[in-house]
Amino acid sequence: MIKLDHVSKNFGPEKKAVNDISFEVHPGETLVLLGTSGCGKTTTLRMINRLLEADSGHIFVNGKEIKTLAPELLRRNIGYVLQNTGLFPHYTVSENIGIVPALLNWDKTRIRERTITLMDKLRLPAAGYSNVYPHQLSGGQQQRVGLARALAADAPVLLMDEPFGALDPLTRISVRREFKALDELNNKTIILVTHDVEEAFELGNRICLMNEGRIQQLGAPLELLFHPANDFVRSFLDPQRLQLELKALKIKDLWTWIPDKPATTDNARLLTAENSCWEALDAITSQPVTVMHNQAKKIIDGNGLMEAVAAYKQ
Amino acid sequence: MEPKETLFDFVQQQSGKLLEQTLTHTGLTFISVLLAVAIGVPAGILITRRKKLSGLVLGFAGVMQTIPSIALLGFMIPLLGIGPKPAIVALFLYALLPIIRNTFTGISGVDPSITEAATGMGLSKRQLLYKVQLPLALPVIMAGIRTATVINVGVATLAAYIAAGGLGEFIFGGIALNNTNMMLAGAIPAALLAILFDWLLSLLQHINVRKARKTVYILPVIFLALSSFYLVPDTYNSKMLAGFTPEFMGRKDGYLGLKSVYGLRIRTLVISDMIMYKAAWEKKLDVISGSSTDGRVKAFDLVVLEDDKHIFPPYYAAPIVKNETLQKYPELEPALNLLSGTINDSIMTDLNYRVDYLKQNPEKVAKDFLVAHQLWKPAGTGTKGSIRIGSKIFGDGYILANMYKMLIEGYTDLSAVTKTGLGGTKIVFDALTNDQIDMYPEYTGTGLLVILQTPQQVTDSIISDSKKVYDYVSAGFQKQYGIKWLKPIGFNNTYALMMRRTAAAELHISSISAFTHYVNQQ
Repeated sequence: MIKLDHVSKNFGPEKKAVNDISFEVHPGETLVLLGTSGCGKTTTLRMINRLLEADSGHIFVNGKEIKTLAPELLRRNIGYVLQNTGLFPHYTVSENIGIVPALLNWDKTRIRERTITLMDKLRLPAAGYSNVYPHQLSGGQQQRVGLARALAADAPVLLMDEPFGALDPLTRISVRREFKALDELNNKTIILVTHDVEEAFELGNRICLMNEGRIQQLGAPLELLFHPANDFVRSFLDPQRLQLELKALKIKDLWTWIPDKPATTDNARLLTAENSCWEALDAITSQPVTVMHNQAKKIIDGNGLMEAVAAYKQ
Repeated sequence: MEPKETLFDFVQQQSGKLLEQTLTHTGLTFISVLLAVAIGVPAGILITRRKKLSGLVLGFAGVMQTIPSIALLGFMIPLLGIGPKPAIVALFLYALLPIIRNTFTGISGVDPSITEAATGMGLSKRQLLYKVQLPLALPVIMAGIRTATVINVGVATLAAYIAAGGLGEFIFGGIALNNTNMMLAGAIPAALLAILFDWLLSLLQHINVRKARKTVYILPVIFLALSSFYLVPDTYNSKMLAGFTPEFMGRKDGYLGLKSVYGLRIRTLVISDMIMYKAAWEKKLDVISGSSTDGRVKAFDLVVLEDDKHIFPPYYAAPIVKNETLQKYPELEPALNLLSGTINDSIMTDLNYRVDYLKQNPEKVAKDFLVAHQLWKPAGTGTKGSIRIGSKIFGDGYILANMYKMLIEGYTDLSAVTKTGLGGTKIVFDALTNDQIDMYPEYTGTGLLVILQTPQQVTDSIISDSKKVYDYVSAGFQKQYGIKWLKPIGFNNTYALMMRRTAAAELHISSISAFTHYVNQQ
């Protein structure tokens, strides 16, 4: 769906912001560009909708080299979410959401219906919010309007630049949870930029860790955790390693290493093997839990789980 | 005594004129602001896109702003002549800076994340400008337009100096005539206009552009309508165009007398004394009010029309000296009287022409004249005492003061010092009565009207006879101040109506009656 082929970008003669980057994002996949500030992740993102022009290399969206398209037409088919929302302060919420459909010459009824649908899905009921101006909303609500605006024209591709970066930690978690649950996003190809490792692991199908303009490692969360390509990747993840591992690992991944203990009580809490170890651990704090996997049942307690994790890592 | 005229009386009498001036003023202001918006807003938008140009464009507009308004109007005259054209151009240049700068600041001040979001969503540059940048910058741009409008209401008063009309006519006329009512009749409406326009534009400043799209389209129409006010008063036409100073317009021994005594009906423009003579020479004006012995009458080849019905009071010049001084130095009077009868109007005009226009030294001009008339003698011992000679700031005064100095030093053993440039009548006369000078050349008309403040009936009865005026003034000064009028020098530096020599010859016009007859023929 999106393909970058040896893309580089310089700001000034000596500073290479992005250095020979290649990757591919498959339809429906969410790729997270992760890294510290100044690593080139935002530059990479902005080259995809031509807010910046690549100095060398090729970028393809939907199989088309983007340089062959008029920038305006390209951008109208790519949803774009910014950290500071960039909502038009002189437009109401529903007008803001309707901007791209209007640019695409949708008729008014269709725009209105689409706006109402999106507002309902994002818990901003049209009745109360459609004629409100952005400055009257909370930060979390503004960010949801920004997301609705990016989704309005149902573009297949979504670029998100630190979409939750401006929110306080609590709001960030709740908006992120809603974001994950949003069916609108199921079939979207998403590239999301963040510096928040936890966010990257939570939202990304694959993670592209960057440093100084280069890709350090590109792979699924588990690959980065358990098969780091270099020391940078390892040390980047170290501070939150245990938490990340427990969140990334699902019980089914550890199934073979979980000791077999016969069920003792019937009223133990039940989890599925799709739950993460983090969720299991959370449940175990009160009492052991029962997990079902392929018709088999295992009771897991704290010791058992940690032993399984240690065994998996070896 | 007549009851004192109030401001209300004045406004009532002059309501037609006041309305005309107010409309002209509004028109001048809005034409220039409209032009400035038409040029300034696009220029402001351009420099947000090409930042390199911004220094140049803002610098140019800034320099325009720093030029004193009266000087800017002056610069326009050689390029565009007199009248509304140069006034509008000057006002336009004044209005540019606030409009360009506020457009630039307003658009640059739009939150970059908003413009980035807009671009990222696929708005074209044009859509970005019309849907995002201009609406968000509008309050700032409108503030610039407000500033420009208020500045222009003020500067437009100066337009009266270059014959463009407006409320400045009353203001400057009032100042020149020391007529407070007239001055206020111009100044108060000008201030009210500024407040009114500022208030109306402030209402527009915060309208929601998208909700009130119609207003945005109506606005230029309103501006155009207001601009067209300028054209309204210009309908009254005649063959000839007169340019009169604000002072002349309001004086009985000026335009009012021309209307009542001669019955002259002519289209008039109010214009500054400084550019009036040149404008007549350049055929921008056909007839002007002037001072009969001004050097520029000669420089610009004008001819004075004879005042055959005597509405202009005689302004014969004569030295006036304090009695004590004359008693102390009896030889002084004969020495000063040597000049009597030697200088007529055309000689004085020629002397002024040399000083004002050829820029010759007044001292040299004075000496050349005395030598040519065999009046010049080398200075005596100068030991007996010292005489202080004053003069006003006009050319006449400098030259005469220098002549008297040479005569005193040549014919007596007194020395003399000149104290020239003592400003107007009030200053120099006070200097004489307070013993800071001993003598100065004064005009009979000034003595009659300004110093003695002679009642109207008396003035009317004697004004046509220069001898009676001289006698009346002599007696009055002797009685009130102990000051003696010596013999008149000979020339009469009075108000005069003048026109181009060639035009006068062509039309066979030599007097004001003949001129009136010609103009009123239509």
